[in-house]
Amino acid sequence: MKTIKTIRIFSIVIPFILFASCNKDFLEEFPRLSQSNELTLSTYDGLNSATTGAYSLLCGSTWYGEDFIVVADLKGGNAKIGPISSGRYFNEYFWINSAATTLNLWTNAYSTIARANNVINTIENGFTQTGVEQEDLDQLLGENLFLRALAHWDLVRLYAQPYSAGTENLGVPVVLVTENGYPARNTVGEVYTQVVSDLEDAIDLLADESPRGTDGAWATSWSAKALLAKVYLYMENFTVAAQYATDVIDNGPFAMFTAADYTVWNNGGYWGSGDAGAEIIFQVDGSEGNSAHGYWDAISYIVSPDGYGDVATSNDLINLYEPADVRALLFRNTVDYPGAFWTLKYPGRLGKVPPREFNVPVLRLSEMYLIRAEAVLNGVSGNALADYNTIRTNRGLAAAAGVTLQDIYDERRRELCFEGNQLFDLARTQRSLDRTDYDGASNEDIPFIQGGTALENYLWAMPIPLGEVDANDNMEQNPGY
Amino acid sequence: MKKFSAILALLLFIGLQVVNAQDREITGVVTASDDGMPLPGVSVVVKGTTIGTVTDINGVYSLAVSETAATLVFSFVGMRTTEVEIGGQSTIDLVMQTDVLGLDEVVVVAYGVQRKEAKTGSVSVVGNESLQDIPETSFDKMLAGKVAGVVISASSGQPGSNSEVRIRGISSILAGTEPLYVIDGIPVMEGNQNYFTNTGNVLASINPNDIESISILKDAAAASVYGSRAANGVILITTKSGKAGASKVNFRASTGFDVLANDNDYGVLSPDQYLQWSRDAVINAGKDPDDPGNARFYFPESLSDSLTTDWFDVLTRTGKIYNAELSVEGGNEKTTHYFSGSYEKNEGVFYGIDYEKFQARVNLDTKMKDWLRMGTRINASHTFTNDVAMQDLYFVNPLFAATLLSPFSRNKNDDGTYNLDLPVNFNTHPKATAEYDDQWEKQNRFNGNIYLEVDFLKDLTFRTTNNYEFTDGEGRSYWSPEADYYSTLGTLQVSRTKYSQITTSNTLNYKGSFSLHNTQATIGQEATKYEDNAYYVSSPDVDPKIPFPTTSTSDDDDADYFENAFTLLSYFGILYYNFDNRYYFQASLRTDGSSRFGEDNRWGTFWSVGASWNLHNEEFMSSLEFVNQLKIRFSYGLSGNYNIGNYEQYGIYGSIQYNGQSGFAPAQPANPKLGWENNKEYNIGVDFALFSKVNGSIDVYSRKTEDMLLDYPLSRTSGFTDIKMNIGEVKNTGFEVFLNWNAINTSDLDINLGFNLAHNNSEIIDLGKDEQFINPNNNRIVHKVGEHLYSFYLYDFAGVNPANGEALWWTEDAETGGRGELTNKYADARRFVAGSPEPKFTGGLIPSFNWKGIQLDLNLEFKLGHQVLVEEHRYVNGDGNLWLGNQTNTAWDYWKEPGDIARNPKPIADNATSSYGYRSTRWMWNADYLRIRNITLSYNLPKNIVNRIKLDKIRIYTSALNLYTFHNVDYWDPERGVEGTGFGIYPVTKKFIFGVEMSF
Repeated sequence: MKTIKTIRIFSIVIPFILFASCNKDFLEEFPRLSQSNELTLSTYDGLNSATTGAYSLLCGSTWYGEDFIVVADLKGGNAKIGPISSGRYFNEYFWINSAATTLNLWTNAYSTIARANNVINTIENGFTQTGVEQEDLDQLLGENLFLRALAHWDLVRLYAQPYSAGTENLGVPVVLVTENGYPARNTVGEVYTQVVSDLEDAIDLLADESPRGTDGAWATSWSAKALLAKVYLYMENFTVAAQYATDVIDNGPFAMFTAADYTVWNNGGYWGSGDAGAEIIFQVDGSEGNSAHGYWDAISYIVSPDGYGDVATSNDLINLYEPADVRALLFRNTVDYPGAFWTLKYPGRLGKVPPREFNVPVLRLSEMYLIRAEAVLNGVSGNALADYNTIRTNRGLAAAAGVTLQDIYDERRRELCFEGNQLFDLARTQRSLDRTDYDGASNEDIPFIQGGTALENYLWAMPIPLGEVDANDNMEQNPGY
Repeated sequence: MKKFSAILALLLFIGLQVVNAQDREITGVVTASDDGMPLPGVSVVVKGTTIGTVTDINGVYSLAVSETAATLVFSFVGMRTTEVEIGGQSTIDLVMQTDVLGLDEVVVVAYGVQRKEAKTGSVSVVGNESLQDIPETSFDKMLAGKVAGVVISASSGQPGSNSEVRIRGISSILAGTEPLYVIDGIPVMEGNQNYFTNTGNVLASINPNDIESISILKDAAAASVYGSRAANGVILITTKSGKAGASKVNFRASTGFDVLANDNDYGVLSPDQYLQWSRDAVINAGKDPDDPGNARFYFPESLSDSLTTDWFDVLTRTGKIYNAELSVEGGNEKTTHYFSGSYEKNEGVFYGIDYEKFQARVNLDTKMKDWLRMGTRINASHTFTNDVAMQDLYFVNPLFAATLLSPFSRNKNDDGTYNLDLPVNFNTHPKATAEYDDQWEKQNRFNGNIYLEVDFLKDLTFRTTNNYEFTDGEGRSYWSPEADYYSTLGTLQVSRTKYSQITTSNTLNYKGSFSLHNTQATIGQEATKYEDNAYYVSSPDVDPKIPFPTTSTSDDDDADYFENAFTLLSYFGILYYNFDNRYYFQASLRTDGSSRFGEDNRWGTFWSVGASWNLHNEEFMSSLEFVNQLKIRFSYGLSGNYNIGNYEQYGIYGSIQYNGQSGFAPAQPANPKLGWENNKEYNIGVDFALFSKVNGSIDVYSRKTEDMLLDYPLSRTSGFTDIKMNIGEVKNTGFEVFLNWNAINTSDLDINLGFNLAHNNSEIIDLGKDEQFINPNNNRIVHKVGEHLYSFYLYDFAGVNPANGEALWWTEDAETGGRGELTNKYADARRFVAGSPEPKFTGGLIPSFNWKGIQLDLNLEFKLGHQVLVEEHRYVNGDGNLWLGNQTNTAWDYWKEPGDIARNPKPIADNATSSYGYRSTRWMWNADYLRIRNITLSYNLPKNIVNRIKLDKIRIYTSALNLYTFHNVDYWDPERGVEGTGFGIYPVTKKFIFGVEMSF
């Protein structure tokens, strides 16, 4: 009887002891599919991976992956809601966004700024690692400064009045150290100052060729210079804009697309393969394998009648092309809709059906010529007509005899349509939207009152997303919304 | 209940089998009054001693008693305890009467059983007899309207979907709000485990007819011993055990049908109405409906002569229900068994939706020695569910598409293929989708435990229960080119999922009585490890001839992997004490360690105390003979809620891919202080039984959630949208009334009336630094201090301007914060707390009648004092928002000319006025309803007929689910889940079945 009792008692004591002994380990469950912040930011490899991560949201559907580009062209009058529709983008086409329906570039852009800041702050706080060269760290720092500048600039273009309408208008918060704070909006001028400063630093830090790859999707000193040229154009500092444009044109490794490039759009060159064409200074990769890829919500799917096809081309744009212009070949229609036009700039990568992946150009050489020509026509010394004709003669057209500012504005539409410029080009030059081919009941034309107040021109700045306004007591909504 | 009680009685009275030398022998047979059958397992005890025995399988007992023994006490669960004077008798036979009040019933409570009379906590019990005939696929749905304070909300009526169960209100915003489910002593997984469909309710793998009883632990005294998992209450499920005796075989089969409910005359416009409405919409937009040159706006009167399609006829059907099951129970003195197997198939009311389940159970108990017992509870099931995406406003959603599709669009082309040219529905034909596409999920589930019980001493028992459960799932979602207007290739997604949970639960239980002092104490330890993982592959361009990833080019394929794990380690103790069955006291203590919380906050301690007083056992009450029971209860305790994500305390970088390179990106902010939510609850209750006819209970409670976990919205400039913090406080107060009146109880006629009513009021006390914030997952809901936990936060729609047909809104008065001026600008409308999806009153009425074997059971259920938001209306009653599609019949009352008092503004094609804006009070309805949830009519064929064909029982029955619902919501059914929102949900349907049950 006694032995039995002893055995019985052991039978309960043993499992208890077993559990008590593995107590601490038993309650540790770390997510194996991720890595701690501290570990990530404590090694060069981690910082390098975090920098790759800082690029990754560029291709999200709220940014270059779809919305930001499509909306700039829809609101700018290059695009329209065509004969087939999934119900997307009506608010933007009709210019009736509210804080609840505004574009949510906000979250993606500030996440990108946070990702960049984590690396920038770590390096600037004196990160060192044995065997890691200063130039490797400089490269990371430069890439992240470039991305931080691009994010701030796209935010201020979308959610604020143009720089030309007054630097004291509400801009967006400039975030240089990411924390759980509640920042108020800086002025437009302050945002531009920071963007310029980050880009100037990036130019010094970045290599001319990215160690990550040569497809134009990774930042180089050239992409920082080209972006700075464009930023100065928006600031109407034409002298410096022209200087940076000239630097890129003269010294950069880029070459103009020729008319021949347009005839092989579906099977080579920039437009077809998704590889960097010779013109590309900086582009965003649109592969479906990207974590932030929007799947069905991709630019190549929304502009294709084989996809959602909502975003067709306005006849206002089509009518701008002369008959010989090879760029007019970059539009297609369908048997069902012979009168409609869809852009072929994003045809989908070869062999990829349905068309859901394609790269998006952010900066390319043609625009550098157009920036310089516009600067010259605004008083900077140089030859605007030569730049204008460089474009024309590479697009199957005869050289023109003269050029006006309006010619450059039209040429920007012809050349850069569906690349996310027209809304911002109208705003920065304070020109009104004037649509002829429009299918809505109201808001056909949107005036821009030159010298008007932010309230008078409120439609030209999109509302700050509701989520931000609700969460951040210091966040002032744009007037009018 | 009887079989179950027999086992319990055996277990409880093992300690009584110590028999001293006695002087005389008394024998007898105990039978039941209702059917005259022998009653096994009845305890027979000499009053005032521990000398006793239990009856065998033939109801026979034999007991040696001393000369001085005066009285025998016969007790059995479900029967009235009877005392018999021994006198000079040596044979005492007894016919036991059914105890309609159930005071002596044994109730399953946390880590054990308790006599109902002894309970101190608030525990409600649902027996299997009230579950058996309801045509639902899982027992959780059957509880609706049955238990006061237990609110079952259907967020989907789809077969196999899970329901939302809330006990005594909602205690949390972001942590889990479902109760803990404990099956045969082991906490189990719950929720939806399917990858592509919402029909993976884990609880559906339990056959409701295998359930012996369900105990619902509502207050701290009853539930707190489950520690960090107890805050939302605990549901204990006990499955059936076999009993010694001849094998009993039970067979049951039923079949029936299933139809879309529509008790508030909801529907779409007729083709002619729609034509007139469209023409007005076109004219209001300044276009000419008779101009063929403008094809988009061309709506000539002549359309009314063209062929039309009734899309509801095309896209809905009468569903079918089949069910068959077999169970066997039996055993001998040493080993008892219960086996069951079942098959169920339920075709939904929409094409492409069905649910099929195979299930088997083995429950075994064996006694190796007097002091050593062992047993097992094993359940296995296989489910196969077909589905079309019904969880949102997808174009394939047949209910939304049937509402939206124009009657002037065709169902089929001339060649017999489906017409996919349906632009308003993005060229998607849900019936083609149902026919050609796949969206299915197969799941194999297993839940098995093995237990060992050792009596060290007569009163000291050790029990170890070790459980393993897993779900192995396979899902497929395939879009075929036949149903795709755009593609000639197939798009395939497949998933493999695995969930597992392993638990060991070990307790040491002591029970002792010293004179009038009765004590029971339990200490225990429990450990759980949960893991899940999922592999997912998407192949966007497979060859439809061989639609598997095999035929897709590998660079298009996308593979992903997910995994989760958590662990929980617990130590606990429970103490019960009572003096003379009059004064009861109980206390519990538990400490839980969870891998989900940061290291600083890893362990939490939870406790409860409770006391009760059985007044009816007091001398001074003995003169009030009509009082069968009067008990006052009080309890207070602290429990926790650990139901948050598994790794939320860590600041981590997760992996991302960009441009062919792999990188890292921040996944969530670090949160080292993250902890559990605390739930403090008071409960005061009264249990009573009067005139041997009426019994009931009343409970009043107040529960307060402190350290409520909230996803606190961050400025997006932080790089995140929110962070979880233990910052909130919410209070739920309420009362519950349960009454049962056995009005007539004769041998021929039995009329019983059950009633339950609960009131709950939630109030947010604290939200950290803010007065309110909008739910980050549902921006129609606001959480605001001083208001209900869930409030609708909506723009104040003021109706239609009779002068011009525009929508009007109320602005906010800057001074009072109330209604200001009328405006036609949605953007200027005030946004305010307009209502709440939380019902103020819930309950049910459960009458039953039995006349000579004909049994009629009714179950009425109601929810009062709450609202729902039906925002589908903004698309299909949206004044021209989606004007190329049909409109609901509520759209017919629209403004036509100045002076019209209309429900809807004037329709405008491509309406850009925001009259149909989101989050408007225009889409809110009062959701009060009274539902005839279930009505069952059954008939037991007379014994003499049944016996002639060598059977024991034949019962035929017919049952209707949701026979009729009184409500005013312009939708098929008023229920929209706990949050009262959602889009295009599969409504609760009406089901009718007919069944036969036979046993021998």
